[in-house]
Order: sequence, then C-alpha cells, then structure tokens
Amino acid sequence: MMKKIVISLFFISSVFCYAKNGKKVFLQANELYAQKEYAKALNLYNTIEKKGPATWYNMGNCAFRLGNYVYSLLYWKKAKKEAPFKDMRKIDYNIALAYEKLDYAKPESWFSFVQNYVNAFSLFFLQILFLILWLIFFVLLFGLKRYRTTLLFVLLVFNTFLFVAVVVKYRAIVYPKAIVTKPSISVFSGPDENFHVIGNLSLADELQIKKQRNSWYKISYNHIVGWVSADSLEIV
Amino acid sequence: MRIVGKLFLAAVLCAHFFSCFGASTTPSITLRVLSADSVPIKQVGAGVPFILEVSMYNIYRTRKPDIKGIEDFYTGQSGFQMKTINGKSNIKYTYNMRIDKTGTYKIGPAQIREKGKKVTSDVLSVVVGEKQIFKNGVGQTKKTLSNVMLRMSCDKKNVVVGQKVRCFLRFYYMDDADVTLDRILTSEVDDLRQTEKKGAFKGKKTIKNNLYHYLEWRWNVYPEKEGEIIIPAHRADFSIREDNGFLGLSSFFRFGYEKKHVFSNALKLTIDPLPEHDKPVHAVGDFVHFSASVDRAVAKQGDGIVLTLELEGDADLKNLDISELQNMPESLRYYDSKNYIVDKDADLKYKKKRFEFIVQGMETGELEVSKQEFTYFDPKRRKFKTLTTSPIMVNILPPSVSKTSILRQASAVAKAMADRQDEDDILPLDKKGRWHSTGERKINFWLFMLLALIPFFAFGFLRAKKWFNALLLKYTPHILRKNAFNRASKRLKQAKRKKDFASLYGIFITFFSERFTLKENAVSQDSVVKILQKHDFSEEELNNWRQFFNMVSSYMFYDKDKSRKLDPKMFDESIGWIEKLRNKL
Repeated sequence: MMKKIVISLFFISSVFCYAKNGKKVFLQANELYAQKEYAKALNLYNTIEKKGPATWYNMGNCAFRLGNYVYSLLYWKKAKKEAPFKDMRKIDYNIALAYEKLDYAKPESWFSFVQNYVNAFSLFFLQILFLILWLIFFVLLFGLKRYRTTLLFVLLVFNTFLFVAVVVKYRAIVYPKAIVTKPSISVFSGPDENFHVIGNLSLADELQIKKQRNSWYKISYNHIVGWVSADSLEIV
Repeated sequence: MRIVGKLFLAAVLCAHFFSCFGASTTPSITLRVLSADSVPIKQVGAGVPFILEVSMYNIYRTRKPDIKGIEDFYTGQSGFQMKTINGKSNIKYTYNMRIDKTGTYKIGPAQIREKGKKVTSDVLSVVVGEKQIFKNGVGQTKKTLSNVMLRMSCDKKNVVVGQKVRCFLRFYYMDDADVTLDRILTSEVDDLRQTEKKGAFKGKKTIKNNLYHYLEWRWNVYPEKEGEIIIPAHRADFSIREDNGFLGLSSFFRFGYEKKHVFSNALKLTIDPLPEHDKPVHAVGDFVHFSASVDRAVAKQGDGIVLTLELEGDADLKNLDISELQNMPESLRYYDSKNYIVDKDADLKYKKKRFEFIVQGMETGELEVSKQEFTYFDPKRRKFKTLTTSPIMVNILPPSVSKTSILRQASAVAKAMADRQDEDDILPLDKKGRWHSTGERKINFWLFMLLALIPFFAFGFLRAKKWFNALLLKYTPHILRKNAFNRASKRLKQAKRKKDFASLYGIFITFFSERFTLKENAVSQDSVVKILQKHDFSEEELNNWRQFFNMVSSYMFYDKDKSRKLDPKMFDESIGWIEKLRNKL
C-alpha cells in the first residue's frame, strides 16, 4: 500500500513539475522575445516537450522576426491545429503575412475553407455530437408523428455536415500535411534519386503525405503523386 | 645489275644532299599554337592559357620576331630555344598567351629581317571556343596530370549584374601521389569584383574509380557589367616525386622531386542586365531585415543623435552603400558617419551591414525621421522587393532642459514608437493561451463507424421484420395458422410480465388474423363472433366472449383513464380464452 502511495505521489509530482517547468520556460521565452532575442526565445520554446497552440504560435512569431518565413508558416500552421476558434483569425492573419513575405500566392479552395473551420473543433467533440444526433434522428424516425419530415430533414442535413467534418479530421490525421522548406525540390517517380523526375515543388508548397519509406515520402500535390526526400519537408 | 645499284645509290645521296643543303637553306618562319603542356591544339579554350610557338629556320641572327596582333593576348612570359649548325640557327620562341573571349582571332604574320630581306610567316587563325581541343582528338596529357588536377567551378553561370556567384577551386591529387603544392596563380578580371579566397578546405573524392584528395578554396565574385565574362584558368605550381631512388632518402633531401604546374579550366559567366524598375535599386541579393534605430529618442536642439540603418542579407555588402536618408524634414540635419559589416553568428541568417548617421534637430518639438526604403532585386524570384523601416519619432528639446525631463519624455516617445511599429506587423505573442498540448482525443475510426451504423441497422432490422411478417402472411398462411396459438400465448405471458393491459387487444386481433388468414383491419368483434358461431360456440360462451373482448378493447385506452382500477386477472382470463379457442377451433 505504502509503495503504491509513493509511486502515485512520484507520478503526480512529476506531472506537476513538468507543468510548472514548462510554464516557466514559456514565460522566460516570452521575456526573451520582448527583449528582441528572437533566436534565443525560439530555442527556449523548442525545449518545451508537448507544445500547445500558444507555444507554436509564439515560435512562428520568432521565426518571422528572424526572417525565416517558411518556418514561421510551419509553426503557425501547427498552432492552428489545436488552437481554439477565437484564435483562428489571429493565426490566419499572420499566415497571410508570411505568404506575402514569401511572395507565395496560396490557392484557396472550398476544401481548405471547410478545413479551416473544422479545425476549430476537436475530433472527439464532432464524433460524439454526430453519434448523439444520429441516434436522435432514428428515434424520431420511429416515434415522432408531428413535424416529422421537417425535423428529420434538418437533422439529416446537419448530420451530413458533421460526418463530412469527421472525415476531414480523420483524413488530416491519416494523411498529414507537410511544407516544402527548400527553394526547389524534385518529385521522383520512386523512392530514390535514380527514378525519373516527374515534377518540381517550390518553397512553401503545402502537400499531403501518403506514406513513408525510409527517408522518402510519397506525396500528393496538385494531382502529382510521387516521392520526395524527407529532408526537404517539414510535417505540419 | 651493278650499274643499277650505283645509280640508285647516287640518287639517294643526291636526294639527301638536296634536302640538307638545297631545300633548307632558305630562311623561314612558322607559327603554331600549343597547349600549356606543349601539346598541339586545334581550338584554344577561352580563358585557358596556351603557347604560341614561333619557329624560325636557317637564321643567322637571333633577334626576336615582330608578331602582329600578339599584344592583346600576351601574358608576359616567353621562352627561347636555339640549335646552330654551320652558322645557321633554328630558333624557337614561345609566348604564353590567353584569350578570354570566344571567336576566331588572327595572329601574325611574324616577321624578321635577314640579310636585308623580310622573312614573313603566314597569318595564324586561332579559334577560341569554350573548351580547349587537342589536335589528335582526345587530350594528350602527361602522366603527372592524371595524378594532379586543378578544377574550377561555380554555383551558377547565368546571373544578373551584381549577383553573387560562389566559386570553388579544387587542387586534386591522387591518394598515392607525393605532391607538394607550392603556389596558386590567379589573374584579375575586368568588370568582376572578387572576394578573398577562403581555404584551403580538405576533402576526398572518387573520380573514375580513383581516390583523390583535394584542397578547396572558396570565394565569391560579383559581376559589375553585363555581357560575357571569363574567369581565366588558375595555375598551380607543385612539386611531385618521380622516383624513390637514393636509398629512400630522396624525400628527405627533396631529391627526385620535379617542379611542375597545372592549369585549371576557365569559367564563362553570362551576365544579364537588371530588369527596368521605377525606383532606384540599391542591391542584388536576398535581404531579410532592414531596420532603423536611434541611440536616444530625446535630445537637446543641436545635439547629435546616432541613427543606425541595419540591413541583413546575402549580397555584395562590401560594395553596398546608403549615404543618403530619404524624405528627411528640413528641421533634421544629418551627416553620413560610418558603415561596417557585422559577421554572421548563430542568431543571424546572413551578415549585417550597419550605416550610421549623425542627426541633429535644428528646431524644437516632436520630429519624425521618415520611413526608409531599401529596394533590391531578388535574383531567385526574379523580382524587385522593397524593405521599409518604421518611422522614428525624436523629441528635440530646447537647449536648457533638465535630465529628468529628458528621461520622462524619452519613455513616452519609446512607447509611442512601439505602438506605431505594430500597425503593419504580425500580431503580438500569445501570452495567455495554452502553452502545452492536451493531445487529440478521438474514438477509433472503426468503432465510430460501428456506433454510427447501429441505429441504421436497428432501423433496418425493424423494417425488415415488418416486411418479413407481411411476406410470411402472404406466402405461408398455413405456418402462421398452425403457430397462431403458441405465439398468442407467448405474447400474453410477456404482456402479463410487463402488466401491459393495452397490448391485449392487439394480441387477440393478431391471433385471429393469423389463424383465419385475415387482414388485421378486417378483424372486429362481429367478425370474431361469426367465426366462433361457425365453430359451435354456445350462446352463453359467445356472451362471455363479448363481455371479455369489450373489456380488452377498453383496456387499450387505460392510459387516458388512470383513475380506473385495472384487474390483473385479465391476463389469466386471456390465456384461458386462448386455451379454450385452441380446443375448439
């Protein structure tokens, strides 16, 4: 019994210390940023183990101040993955500035628009909401007599949107996105430089990773599916 | 036969004497080009040194010939070789030459005066191409040249005026070659600024299955004029050991070493002019930062404030100059002070250059140092870009103001400047947000799909059951008929357990519908009585049935009349009726 208590206390204190140290590092890095010591601040933020949206966001600011716009873009996109809905506009504003600095005209598609808003909700929340509403839909299908058609239609439409959102979130987990961090890279038809070059990617191009083999990623970008070297990409 | 032999001998002797004394007695001059290794070449490489060999035969005087058109290409070194027989000499002059542009050039004729007569050679046509081509096709290099090589390369060959080109010079020597590099000779190139060479960096490389060691020098060049520029070949002088004689002491005493030299290739750069632009262009390269700052924001009238413009970028910073400030108000006078380069460290992406100006406020009040623009051409993106500093407010006070007042005003100005700086900038740090990740919780995809499909399946199952019953009723009435009593009993027992009085009516309707193959809506009190009459039920039994069924019918609505007391014996009575019907029907 005593052993269990000691182990539990050790575990709780470790978690508490980690949280305390992490917060301390975060605040110290904020101070360094305020003193315009951007490189040092970035290094300090980087030591935080499980970085949250605020840490990623601040790292993006540091990279931007250091003139490393691709990495600022990368960090802000990482921040966006976990950021609450209220912070989305702030991050989007900075991302737009980074694209401007990179002279990169980002193509906006309806899918990215949907993804933007879906990102604001956690997958778990979307899943639970969908299941509850789906159950209600079937219960109503059997039980309700009055306003049945209208209510069922509304529920069906809402649930369809929810299902799309869940699929989008799953897709982002299974096929993560990556950003090209080198000025120009070649896309090969196989996982080796001896294969044919089937296309080229430029700095800050955002692509989807299909799978990995050793130090090569199979990617998909603008209808090009090919292989690129892992050291030219950073996963968002 | 003997006569024929004598005649043949005489002919041979005549031919020999004629060739020795007759044909070769006339003075003559010939010109030809050789590679730096004295191998005949048919095309000279642009920027690659070559030798012009002037051979003079049957000459009495050893004077240098006059060669037309040699001045522009002669690099200042020459050689001389002479053989004299019977007072006549065969002389060879060699001139080290280099031509830096491709094309065909005329050299010659070479001319001397011999006994008052002019002896003239033919005009030599020298073809200059991008590469040196030997006369017998493949290069005939000496053995030592495969042991030692000098190669020059650059990171790009087509650039714009002012763009940085990184150059590399590698002196390769084979793994087993005993080579000592003595010196490297370079040449200045017009219209090209070259930085100091850094190195030597050591390395190894396998070329055609041979392991070479190399020494590498790196430097940058910045073209200053458009057109074609040749970076001429470099020359490396080295000593190489030819044998291991003298009891193995040759290397110690430097015996057995031969002095040699090797030339590198030349590099051709094509320089394009900068595209036209409406603003003055300060530089060519990649710049990441341009800012302005002052050493103090508050000063007395006439005092000097140091204004520093700081530029961080990858370009020809040494030649970059900002000597004027843009849109300065007349009330602020400035002087160009000094500029210096800050070397790159771990925190910087590129080197920085700082330009310092002394600014004097000539009037009191809050004055603005306007925003400064720096326009440069980004060769990677082939675009002009402009970096802009934020404007700076300085507060110029009358000459007699206390120090405390200056400090108070300085903090106010600093705050105002900080506010202004954020206007066109990224948004500030997130200090209150979640700094740590909570990780993303999720239901496993397949479990989620299963949960999502459960209501769907349930709905489908109920629909299917209903449909199946309808089919059963339609196509297998005899099975339903046979099992109608058992099913009714079972349902009644379930209803009894649940005390579901309302379901009794439905159970009997379903029973009669199944037993007599009727539609459920066709079953009523009257139709049931008629059926019972047909099966020999007495009048008393029929009356009992009527009373019982009326009661069952009324229980259907018991929810609406909760004040009514329900009789639990109804379930037993219902089961009894089913048993009675089983016996009679």
